[in-house]
Amino acid sequence: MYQPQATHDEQARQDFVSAFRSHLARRIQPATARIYEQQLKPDFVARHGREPESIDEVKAIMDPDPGYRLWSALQRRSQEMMWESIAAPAVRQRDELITHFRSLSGGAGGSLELDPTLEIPAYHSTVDIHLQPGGYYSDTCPDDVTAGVLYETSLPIYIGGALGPDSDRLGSMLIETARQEIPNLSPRRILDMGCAVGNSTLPWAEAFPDAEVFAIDVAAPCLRYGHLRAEEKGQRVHFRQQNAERTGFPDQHFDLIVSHIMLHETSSPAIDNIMAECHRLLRPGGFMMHMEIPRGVGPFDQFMSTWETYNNNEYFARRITHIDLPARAIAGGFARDRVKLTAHDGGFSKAQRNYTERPLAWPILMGQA
Amino acid sequence: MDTLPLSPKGIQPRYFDDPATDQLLGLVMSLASELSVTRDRLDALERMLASQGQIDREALDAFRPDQAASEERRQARVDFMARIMVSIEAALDNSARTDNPITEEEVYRNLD
Repeated sequence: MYQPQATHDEQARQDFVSAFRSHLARRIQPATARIYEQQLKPDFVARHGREPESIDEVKAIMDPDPGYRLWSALQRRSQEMMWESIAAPAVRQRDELITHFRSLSGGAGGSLELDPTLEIPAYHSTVDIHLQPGGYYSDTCPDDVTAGVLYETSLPIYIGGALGPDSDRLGSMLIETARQEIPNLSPRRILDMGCAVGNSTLPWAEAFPDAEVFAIDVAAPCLRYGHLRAEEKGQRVHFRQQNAERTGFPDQHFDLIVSHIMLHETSSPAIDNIMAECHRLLRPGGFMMHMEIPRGVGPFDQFMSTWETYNNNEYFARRITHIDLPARAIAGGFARDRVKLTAHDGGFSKAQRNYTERPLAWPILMGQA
Repeated sequence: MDTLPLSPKGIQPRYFDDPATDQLLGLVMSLASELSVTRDRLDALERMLASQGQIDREALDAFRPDQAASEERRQARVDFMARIMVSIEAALDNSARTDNPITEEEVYRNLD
């Protein structure tokens, strides 16, 4: 068993957070949307003779609204309480999990290579993304796996179970799109960038059992835990502590490079570096596919989708909405006619969408070397 | 760092004019959580008593509701959230109404 066991009350605390967040998504956030539609937007139209057109214009009328502020305060508190409810069992069983990690025999044939000299990029060390205490990368002791445990336990609570019992839905979604977009897809070597605990990586290993699957991240505790988790689940993945901006792999080493909602947790220069690195790593004809967070349609949804920027330490999410990803891929070396943006409709329910009542399409940046 | 930090690194946002209100909201939601946990524990106690006629503390800490009990608890939490949030929902609903009088003068126009 690789996951910490919660006591009855610890589980009940996590269950409360799920109920709290579901209530906010189903009942409170839609109420703030009605205030916007029925009061704030008409007021704006009366003053300016037109509807708000940008995220900034919506922000200017929403930020002072008491209802929006109350929902924001509750949403923020739910995120803090999520970590509080998860941390207790993880901290209590830390040493037990580490012992388990150290005794791994490598039954599934995967591997782990860490690089203690790797510099943690500033986009991870400046603030703790998603409010995860210590971020994805901090060790509290040698061979620590805690950050990975916290990350994995948070996923079903954060997104209301939308990623499935193994939190692997984003991987399956990207595989669906890959099979539609790429005829006769049978990669021999796959790289997953920014893999965290490998929850989105495992479907690739399962879908392509003959392929060699590598997964990289800068966060050592997530990689240790991801290795433990993959081996326990019997999936062969090779985890490496590397920065996607400049990996240690040889030129043209991969047939397929993927990432699952990684780009919005990097930086503007990092995206350029990652595009150039993907181009270097792909064999001629190989593909890259980077899935991103849905950003909504229209200025109100787009404003709500940037809530996490200011309230959940996702500062680059605000910036990436203005970045022309296909243009960055072309700047990184991909031919103009071999780059495109597609999307996957995740089909999530309202209780699994914190900020919008509309269906979400997950953008996917594709490029062929 | 040898333990997890209590607070995440980053800018602490403020939602209300008085920071004490932010603190109070945090505290109230923690209390709500503890009440919900107590209700779940009470549920476990009741089920254990009903099925075994006695209570074992260790077994209680390890108690896991079966599928039917989990669903009952889930629905109970939905109802619990609705009850504790009702004043907030009502206030937001009132803010969104388009048929509300805005000033007292408007009210008295129909009375005087």
